[in-house]
Amino acid sequence: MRCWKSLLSGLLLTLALMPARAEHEHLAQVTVLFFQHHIEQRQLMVDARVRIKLSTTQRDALEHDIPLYFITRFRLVEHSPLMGFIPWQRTVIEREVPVRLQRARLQGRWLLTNLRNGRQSEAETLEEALDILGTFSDIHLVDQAELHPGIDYRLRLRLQLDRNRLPAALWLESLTDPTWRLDSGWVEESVDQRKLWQR
Amino acid sequence: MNPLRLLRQYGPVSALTAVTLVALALLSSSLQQAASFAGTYATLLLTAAGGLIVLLALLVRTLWRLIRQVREHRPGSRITLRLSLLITSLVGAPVLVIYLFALQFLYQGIDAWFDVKTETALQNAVSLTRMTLDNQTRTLLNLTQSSAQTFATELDQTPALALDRLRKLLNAEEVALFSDDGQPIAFSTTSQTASALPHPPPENIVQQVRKGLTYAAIEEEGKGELRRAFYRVMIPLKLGPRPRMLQAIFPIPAEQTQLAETVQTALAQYQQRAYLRQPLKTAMAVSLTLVLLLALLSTLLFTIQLVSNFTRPIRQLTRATRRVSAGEMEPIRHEGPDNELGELIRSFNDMVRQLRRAQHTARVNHQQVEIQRAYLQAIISSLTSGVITLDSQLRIRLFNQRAEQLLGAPLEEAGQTPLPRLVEQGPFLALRPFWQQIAPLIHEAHGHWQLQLNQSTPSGERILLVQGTPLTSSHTGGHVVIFEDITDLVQAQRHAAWHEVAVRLAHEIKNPLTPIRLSAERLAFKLGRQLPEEERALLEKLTGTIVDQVVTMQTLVDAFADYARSPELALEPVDVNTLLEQMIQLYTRPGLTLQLDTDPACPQVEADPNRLRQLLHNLIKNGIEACEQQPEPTLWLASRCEGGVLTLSVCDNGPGLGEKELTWIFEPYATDKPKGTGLGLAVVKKIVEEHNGTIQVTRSGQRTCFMITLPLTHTR
Repeated sequence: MRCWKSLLSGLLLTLALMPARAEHEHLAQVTVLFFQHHIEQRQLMVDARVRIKLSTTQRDALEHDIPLYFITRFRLVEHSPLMGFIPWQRTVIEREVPVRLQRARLQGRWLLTNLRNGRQSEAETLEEALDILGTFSDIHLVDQAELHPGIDYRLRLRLQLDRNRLPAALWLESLTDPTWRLDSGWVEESVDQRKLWQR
Repeated sequence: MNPLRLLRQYGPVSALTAVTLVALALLSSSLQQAASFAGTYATLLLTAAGGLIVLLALLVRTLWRLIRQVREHRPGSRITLRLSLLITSLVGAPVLVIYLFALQFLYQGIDAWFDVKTETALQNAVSLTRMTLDNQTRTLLNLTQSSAQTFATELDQTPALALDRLRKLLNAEEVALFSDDGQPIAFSTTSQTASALPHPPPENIVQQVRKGLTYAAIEEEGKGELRRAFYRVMIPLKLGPRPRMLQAIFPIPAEQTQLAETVQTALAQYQQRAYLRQPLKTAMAVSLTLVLLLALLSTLLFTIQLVSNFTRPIRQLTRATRRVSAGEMEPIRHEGPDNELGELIRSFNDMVRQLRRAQHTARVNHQQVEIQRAYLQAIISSLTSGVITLDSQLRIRLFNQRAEQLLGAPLEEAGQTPLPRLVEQGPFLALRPFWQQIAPLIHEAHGHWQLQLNQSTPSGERILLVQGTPLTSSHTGGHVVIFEDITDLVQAQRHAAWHEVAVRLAHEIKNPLTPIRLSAERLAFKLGRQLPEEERALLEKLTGTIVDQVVTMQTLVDAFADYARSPELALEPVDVNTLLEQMIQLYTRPGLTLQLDTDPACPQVEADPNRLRQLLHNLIKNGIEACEQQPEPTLWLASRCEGGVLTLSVCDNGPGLGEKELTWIFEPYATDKPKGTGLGLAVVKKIVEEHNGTIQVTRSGQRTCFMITLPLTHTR
């Protein structure tokens, strides 16, 4: 029994001493500057601008040629109470925009790759790259025909760092280290009925 | 071993260990591959951790069961626990040492990957490559600009020919002329494809060039194996009034691209690993720790199962031994493994079978001994003599009921107490005189001994003939004491003696008495007339004395004659109640109260009426003499017929009899009265015995009763 107690203590000690980076390091910040929608050719489109400020840890990782993966989700949610009074919501559609940000050392640039369509963008600086990363224009969500008048629709946006696509060795650290967190949380915007149904 | 049993015992742990091991192997592999993502790692880590948790749960359950078995003193559990912990410690300690060393080597190995010189060299290589490519890009830009100026007129007039010549001059892959809105005007290419179009410039480049700026950079196109890098150079041209844009595409040799990418990839990987150094150490340490835990957990589980299987024969032996000790002679069903333990089980089974046979034989012998003992007990119980056997510690081992009756003690309760101590205890105090008399003989005698002793009992004095013999032939030693009541025998001998005396008295004395009396009377008659008055008076007084004494002697002789008379009875039916009434009438007189209580149910008794009358006469006379000093002398006569027995009782209110008097009251010539022959009660007892009856004296309140019982077998 004593042997097992020692082993358990050792394991707990190892977990406790796992990289707990100094918390005074700058944390990542995500700010949604604007999140708007419009109808174009009977299609509901969204535009958004997100300001991303990476933490020192994340910048350090990028500087060391570790690519970071970001996922931006756009979700259209339908709010229609059941039997008139029970709160109920349904996701009408969700679009994901997965983007990889990495350093192209040979070219001396920052490379952004949209993993959904393979398109690449380049930027001279990291700030410029983050600016491109946080800019979304004319993201098509749904055909207007699929929507119904009189129903409350909400748009949601969330941008986060995909920690599951970090290098394997970093996963344990990213669990405990707050500087690895980058998540805007869900930002909600009501769909303007006038915009939706005006002719 | 049965394969199914093997699978049931080791299967789950083996499968779980294998799954966890595979997960850990993949986990380790994922850590070493840069392309592996944290998602995969997390899945593998959780799988491995889950496997370990299940193994830990199995271990906890197994240990809990084992500890519970130890507490319940289950056979083999203690040795299983000890051996399991011992083997696990023996295995675990080296594994732990290896783990610590492996951890140290791992840390050192990871640190050894990194070197300042290597990093600098890689960074320099990348810088050099980049500088080379930048120089090449600038050179191509300058060359394109100067050549464009040279061919400016031709480009305006015959753009296709000019572009072809320019392409050859620049040694470019493609040269194209675009309008200021990005539309191709003409181009020249080395491509043999007829439908090939010039590389369309991106909008941002078009806008940049439209503003009068130049563009020169390395770009990539294609995917997979078709992927290639090239220089794109784009400059603004002023051909007349219309602004134009000239684009030149220069191929980059694949070898050069590959080398550049190799250098870049090497540095990128180096940088990544440098950054991941510490997390990698942590992750590797966690993986190694999980491997260690897996090794220890599975080792402990396998060891417990292995030891449990190994000690199964021991458990079977222990259980079987307990059964045997409880008297259940059952061999072990399973023969056990083909090793020393199996041999032990087989030997145990042989032993149990032999024990069973021996037990059976012992049981049979015991039954025989019991039969013999019961037989002996029956014999002893049927003896009219009392028998006691004593062991070497003088404890009573065997006795019969007659012994209890004669000794007047509950020998059944003697238990294991030696006789010398037993006689000091309450219920056995009556044994003390008996023991005091035989103790010297038991202690000192070496052979058969015999002793006659008198014993006082509530019913009178008793004479015992005690014989003893040491049990020298017995292994346990001891003594056997046999005793019998010879009181009746002694009294019969005395009666016989007195009978002989009576016969002789009657025969030798009675005959001369009549001539003596006649002679005395004649002497008085003849000489009385001749002698003077005074002498005559003396003579008459002397002869009177002789006659009186002769009469007395005749009475005495008559009494002896009665006692000595032969027991020839003249049996005839006698009404006892009538006889009693006659006797009452005979003795009725003033100053004496006689009360009669007869039982009308009494039939006529076959008896000698004269002898019976004499019996009553003697008893009534004895009663009157006994109570004549009482203020109200009273006699009670009664008859009772119950249970085939006639009981006659003659009671008086005299002073009664002492204990010692009871011992000789029926003996001839045993009287404490100044007058009387002393044969009255002896004759009574003789008459009773002639009629096969019994007589006893009782004292109830103020009454002393002679109780005579006669059998009614001769009743008509």
